[in-house]
Amino acid sequence: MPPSVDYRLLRHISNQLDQHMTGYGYQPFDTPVIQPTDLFLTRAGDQIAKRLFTFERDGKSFALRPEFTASAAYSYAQLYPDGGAVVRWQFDGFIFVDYPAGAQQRTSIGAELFGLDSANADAEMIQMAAGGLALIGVQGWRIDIGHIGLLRALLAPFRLDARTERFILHHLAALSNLSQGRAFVLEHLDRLLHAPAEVDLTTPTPADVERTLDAVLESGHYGVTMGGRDRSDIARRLIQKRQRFTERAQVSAALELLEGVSGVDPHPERAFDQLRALTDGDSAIGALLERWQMVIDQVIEAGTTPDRIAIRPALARDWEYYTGVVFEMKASDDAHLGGGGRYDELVKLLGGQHDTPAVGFVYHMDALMEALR
Amino acid sequence: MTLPQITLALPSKGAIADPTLSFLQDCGLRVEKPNPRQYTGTLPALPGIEVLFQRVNDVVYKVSDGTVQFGITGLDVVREHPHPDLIVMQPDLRYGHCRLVVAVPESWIDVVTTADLAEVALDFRDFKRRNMRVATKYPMLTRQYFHSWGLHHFTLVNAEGAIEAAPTIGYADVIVDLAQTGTTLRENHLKALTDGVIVESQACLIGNRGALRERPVLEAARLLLERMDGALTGREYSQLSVNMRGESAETIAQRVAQNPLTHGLKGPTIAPVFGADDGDGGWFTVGITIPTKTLLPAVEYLRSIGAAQVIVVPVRYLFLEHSPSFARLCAQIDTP
Repeated sequence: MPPSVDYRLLRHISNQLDQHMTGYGYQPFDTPVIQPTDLFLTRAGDQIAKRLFTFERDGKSFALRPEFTASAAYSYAQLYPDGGAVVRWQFDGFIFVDYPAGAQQRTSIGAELFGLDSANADAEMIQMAAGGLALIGVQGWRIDIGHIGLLRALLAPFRLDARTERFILHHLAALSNLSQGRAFVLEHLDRLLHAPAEVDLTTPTPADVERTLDAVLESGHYGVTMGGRDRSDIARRLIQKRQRFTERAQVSAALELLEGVSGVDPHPERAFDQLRALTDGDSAIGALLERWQMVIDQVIEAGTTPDRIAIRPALARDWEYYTGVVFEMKASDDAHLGGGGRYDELVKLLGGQHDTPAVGFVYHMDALMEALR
Repeated sequence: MTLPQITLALPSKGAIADPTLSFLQDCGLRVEKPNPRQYTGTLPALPGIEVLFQRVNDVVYKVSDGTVQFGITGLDVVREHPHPDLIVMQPDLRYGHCRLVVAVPESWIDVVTTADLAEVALDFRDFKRRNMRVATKYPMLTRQYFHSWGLHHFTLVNAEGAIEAAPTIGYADVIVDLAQTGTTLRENHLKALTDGVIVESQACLIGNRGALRERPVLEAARLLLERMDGALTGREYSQLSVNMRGESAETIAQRVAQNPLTHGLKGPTIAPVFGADDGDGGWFTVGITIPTKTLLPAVEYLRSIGAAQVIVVPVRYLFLEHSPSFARLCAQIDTP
């Protein structure tokens, strides 16, 4: 933080927020600042991976923690190897972002709730986050609420390659940006995923691809050096590439659907009817929408007025580990005050043996302080 | 008054060591090296400047920390070790050309571009449970380049020398290394990615920002750059003496100057040739200086307007009113 920070105010609002979350039953929790790099790269979005502070010691790569969630999930997996435990943790500490033009060390305050998968848990987290803003006196705050799980469910019928799906989810912001839109995303996708290959990819079947590959590699034209890959790795990827050639129409249709979904009226009383109309008939999606609406209803019931809530189905967060409801808190000038969401797969990805539902959020304290000026 | 010692660091070995000495010789700055085993030398043409031989990386370090004021090294090394006090005074001395490229085994026929490689890196994690290993002497540039392509899952393997062999020996999957013609890559069964050029490199002249704020150092920089610019610009021009028949110097001048190919720097100089008058108009000698790359079309044109002999001499130096590189340098260090 810059030296101009009002540390008395920072301490004051930190205490207020800590007490606020203690009132919800959240226990203090901390993680080591220095951790193996892989812990953070497991599901980091590209923006995060690029800005991770890393260094090497004795051939191992370490990173300064860029956030709390991955470390918390890892700790949960270590502390509760049998799973099942319901744990409420709150944290307050420094995080580090290798960002030359801005503050590299930032204060981050937030909470994680492990072991509960319900609309109540989602609503608890959003309500606690929003309640904190009201408590410390931020004026004109709003909260954007999206749903990554819904987007994944919408994409499922298109049977896209995992990488293509990942790419699309990464470019949601561009999709709802009027000056970019679908054509922009498709163009990028073509450039990134549909690169040319040295062999003909228009062959009719995967088996043909393998046959072609064998013929090419045995022609003696290429050396025997393979790096760390073998023939089956190359064949698998050629088949993947071939598949992408054939799925472009699917991608375009998927983007069209997402574009429509991201264009719904953000008002919580109108958004859900429009979303149902756009996705009518699908029972799985209907169930997701119903639960999502329950979360919103509970948040409103608990005291957040609907005019502070915007339903944004295509809301994307920097971290790739989110699986359900996601949300972002904003100041009246659109500054990001913090955000969070549900991440049900992370504990298992970090070594947990059991499926562990989880939801959490974080305040960006430098932005909060700015908003309180 | 004692002059501050000004030192120019030159590469002691490697691909650009010998070409640097011949380049300086072309600039009229022959390097005197009294003892081949010593690390110092002199520039007889510029007695105020001492020469120190260092490895290409050390040239960059020593200029950055101000131990020496000037250095000649490869642009690749300069980009790998950026430093706020390091100024590139002349980015292209037109020798030592090479490219820093990403190269993969040529058997990876599914990999053509960097985007492909980014996917393969994910495959390594998904299917091999490890990072793709990259052997390189350029960790900074490699990291920067890969991250800019969204390629985040890789491990750098530091290696010195014979990097091209790493994928065959097995301690790396891909390499980032210098390539001049691509022959070494091919011999090691590697291929460069089609869009994987990280730096186009050649020899360059660098200087220390703080040192350049001192008058004597800036003056030394001017003398170096004047000679380099003179030689580099001169190399692109040829001087022509043309024997041509015509009614008068004016008519010949008009014909020669009206074509941009033969206009020369300012226009032709024309002198009569004595004793060659065979009664059919006079003979004149035309002098012009023109770009070498359009020499042949220019000669064609001169023939068409009556040239009998064309003598072409390479230009050794061409000094303009001011050294353009020195003007750029002054702008970089905010000196009038």
